[in-house]
Amino acid sequence: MAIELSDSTLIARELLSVEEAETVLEWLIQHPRGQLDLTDCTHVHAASLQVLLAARPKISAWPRHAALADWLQAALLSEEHAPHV
Amino acid sequence: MNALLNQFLTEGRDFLEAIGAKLLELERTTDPGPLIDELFRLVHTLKGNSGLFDLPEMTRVLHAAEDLMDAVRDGRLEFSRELADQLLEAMDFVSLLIDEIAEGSDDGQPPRTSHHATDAARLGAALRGFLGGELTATSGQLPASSEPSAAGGGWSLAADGQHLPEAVRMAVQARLTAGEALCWVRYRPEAECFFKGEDPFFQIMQLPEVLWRQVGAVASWPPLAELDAYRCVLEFEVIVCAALEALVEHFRYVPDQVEICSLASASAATTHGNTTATTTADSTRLSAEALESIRVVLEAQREILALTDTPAWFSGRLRAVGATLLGILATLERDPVASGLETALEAALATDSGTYLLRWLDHQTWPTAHAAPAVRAAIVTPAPLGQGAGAPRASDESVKFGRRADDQLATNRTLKVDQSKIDRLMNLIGEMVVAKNALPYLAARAEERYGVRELSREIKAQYGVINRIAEEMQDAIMQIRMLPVSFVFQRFPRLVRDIAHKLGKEVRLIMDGESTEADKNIIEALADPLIHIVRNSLDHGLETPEQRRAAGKSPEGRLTISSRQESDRVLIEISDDGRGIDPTVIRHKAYEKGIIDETALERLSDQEAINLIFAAGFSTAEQITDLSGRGVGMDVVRNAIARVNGTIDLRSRVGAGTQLRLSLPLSMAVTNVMIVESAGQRFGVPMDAVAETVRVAQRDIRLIKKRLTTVLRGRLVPLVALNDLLALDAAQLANDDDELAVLVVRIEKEYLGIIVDDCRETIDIILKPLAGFLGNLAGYAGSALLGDGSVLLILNPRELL
Amino acid sequence: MSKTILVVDDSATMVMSLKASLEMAGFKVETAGDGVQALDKLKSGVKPDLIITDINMPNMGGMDFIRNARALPGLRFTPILALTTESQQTKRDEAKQIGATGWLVKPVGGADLVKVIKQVLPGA
Repeated sequence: MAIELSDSTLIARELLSVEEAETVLEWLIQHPRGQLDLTDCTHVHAASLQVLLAARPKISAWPRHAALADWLQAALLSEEHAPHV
Repeated sequence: MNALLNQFLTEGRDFLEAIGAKLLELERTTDPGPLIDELFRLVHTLKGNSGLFDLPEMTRVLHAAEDLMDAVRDGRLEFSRELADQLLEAMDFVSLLIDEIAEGSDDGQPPRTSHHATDAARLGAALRGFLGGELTATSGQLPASSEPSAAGGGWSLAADGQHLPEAVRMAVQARLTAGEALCWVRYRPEAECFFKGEDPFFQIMQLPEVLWRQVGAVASWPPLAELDAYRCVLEFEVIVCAALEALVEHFRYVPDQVEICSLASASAATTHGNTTATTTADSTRLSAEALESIRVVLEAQREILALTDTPAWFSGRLRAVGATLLGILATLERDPVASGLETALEAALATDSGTYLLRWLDHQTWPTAHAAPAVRAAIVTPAPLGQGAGAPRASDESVKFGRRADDQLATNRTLKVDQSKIDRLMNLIGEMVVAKNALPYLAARAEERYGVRELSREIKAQYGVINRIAEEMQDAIMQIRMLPVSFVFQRFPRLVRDIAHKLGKEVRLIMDGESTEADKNIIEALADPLIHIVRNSLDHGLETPEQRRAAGKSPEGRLTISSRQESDRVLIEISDDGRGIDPTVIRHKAYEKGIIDETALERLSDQEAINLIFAAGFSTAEQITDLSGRGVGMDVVRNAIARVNGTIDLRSRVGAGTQLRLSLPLSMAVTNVMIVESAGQRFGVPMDAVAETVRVAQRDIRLIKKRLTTVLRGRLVPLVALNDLLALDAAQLANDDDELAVLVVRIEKEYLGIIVDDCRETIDIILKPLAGFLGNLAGYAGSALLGDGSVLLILNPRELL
Repeated sequence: MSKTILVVDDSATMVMSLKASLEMAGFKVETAGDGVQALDKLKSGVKPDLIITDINMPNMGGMDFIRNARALPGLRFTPILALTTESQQTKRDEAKQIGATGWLVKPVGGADLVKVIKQVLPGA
């Protein structure tokens, strides 16, 4: 299992897969203040990515994987919440 | 041979056979649909496989055939006999190529088949000829609509880049000025994309250097509780350092979901004074291949300039070099004036020396090949872009090819084994059979020479065991060598169809007992004679529809080929309901040709007369046709059958038809031979030809009409000396009582005595036909390996005479 | 852990070629000779990370196989690449329509094959 859940933190390792998108979504709905630890995460499937984007959870640790971190930061930290058209 | 190529050839032959069978079946069936689907699939797969190798001729023809079958399948084209003919011809061509490749491939690479290019083109055109106006529809062009919307230059930094952060805008401008290709991409994956196995974010992550990025939802984000994780609402927007073509390629699976624009700089690219900067730009823009070509061309120019001779055309040579270098500069988009090439060329021409140009070459900064290996390496092991050291790497866990046993190619219960391996087994069991024969001698010696009867008995008992095992093993190996007669029969439907077609005859072919098996050598020896017999039936036996109608028969002739096993023989019958053979005609023909004399003309029974067609030099054809009139008569057929210990029997009734019956041994492998000695050598003679062996006193041999004869059991038997037959320059040796050893053999109910030096024991041997150049040697049935490693030549008495 | 790829093709030559290329690149390869065999494998618990399937096969062709496979639990999101030839643009579109992730153009092998796979298979 690539994700580890507790009441306060979701730890994702390696691939946050498409199958796990729903689990992540459920968890985020139930734990609106939950934090994500993505230190060892190397890729987030687009389905999971959109869950993160919609929920905008607090990221306690960004991925060590630089390119992924760049993307997630660009997606989650941007001021402009509404997309550019 | 390369295992893959081998597999391709083996499977290819199977496919061709199936294609041939299906095409023939199509001409008879009332429900062509499934057959046409199957045909298309076969041709399609074969074409796909051929593409794995560099076989342009084969692929070309198969491609055309595939398109044709596709049109037939879609109902755009009617299946016809002409179409079948053309396809059959194409498949014959492919078959020929496969044979050539199988022959000529020793280093694992298929040999070049380019000498067939003309045929390939002709066949391809012939096949496409059926398609006519269809050609364009299947040419493989992408419909314009499936191209990603890629409007070059539709996005400008000044107009569309307003919302970009200042830093990004400057970076973009700088890159553009440096001549790099930049594109703006917007990717809106379709809602259902996850259910197609897509991961749009992964596609985005793999983009090369991204200068600017934005990701959001196409519409506004719904409340979390209402979000459907599996309906994609993402929208990505990036400015990326890549050429338009590369991006179109990257998003080729989702062309309708992306917009790509090549970025144009606000100001025109300036000329570069700094060559180093230019180099960097060159390297990113040009492919590794192009850079490599440039390096090679430059190297060649250096070599030309370094030549020390000064021919009359020296200035032409300099100009040629100059033109080439100019071309390279153009490729690199460098300014020829600024680079000083023209000045260098002028100087070179003025001094009649290449020095100036060489010096110019040395002073230029050329795009180094650095980029090339990097690009190549990236292709070989493309690590997903942007993945760090912690990412799993394919190479770390790569499993060596072929190591695992748990996922074998297929759980097929049939093995395809190279024939040489079976032959080796044959040789070994042959040696075994002979070597085990030494044990009884050993037992006898143990008793007689050393007087240990107990040991002798034990050896005999052991011999019994080994003998049984050896016999079973021999039988098992023989079984492996068994082939069904269908190996030969399978070509008849096509053969009969083609010949009947050509002769304007209607023939129904009925085959039966195709699964009857016999040894491979027998089956193979059967092929040519059978084809000849079938040709004869079609050519001479069966009548044209008009003739048949006139004779009160159905217009369609029947040709039946059947096979069955009867004890240890295989019987093959070929019968037709044609005009039959008229014994009177045969008698007269034989008489005209001098095969029989006048008395025989009267005396011969009808059956005997019919058998005359087996006589050498007899041919019943009234006119030579290109089918059976090839100078090969039935005598050749009979001899070929006889060579594998087979017999042939012919019955015919005028007006009712002809029936040929071939009887062949199941296996020719084990032969009981008698060893004879002559002129100091040993030869084997098959026992089934030997009637008896006798000692004949020299004085009982008489000369009648210049031929040696003797009387045996009241019968006059002609004698020949084996040394004479084999052209051995020695007289036959008599024994101490002045008697000669005579081997009496029976050939076609006639007896003949062959004088040898001595007759020895009989042994079982595994007969192997003589191969290669020796194969044409008449008089020998083959050779056998003896227990002591020596080779015994086996005589064929029939051919000796 | 190496990724598992299921190769479905009725041609033993094509299977052999793909298997060799994929195994050299470090993938674990499962094979099937047609759609029926492939579905049996999937139902018997084989869980590939990627499926490569031919289109024209006896018993069950690639289109039906893709449709059936997508309906199986655990295969909703699995990338599936259709093996097509140059001239089969319509087949590609159709395959894409019914749930294929993309396609490979025959002949395919070696570096090209691995490149395409790495493009659709995260973590490969």
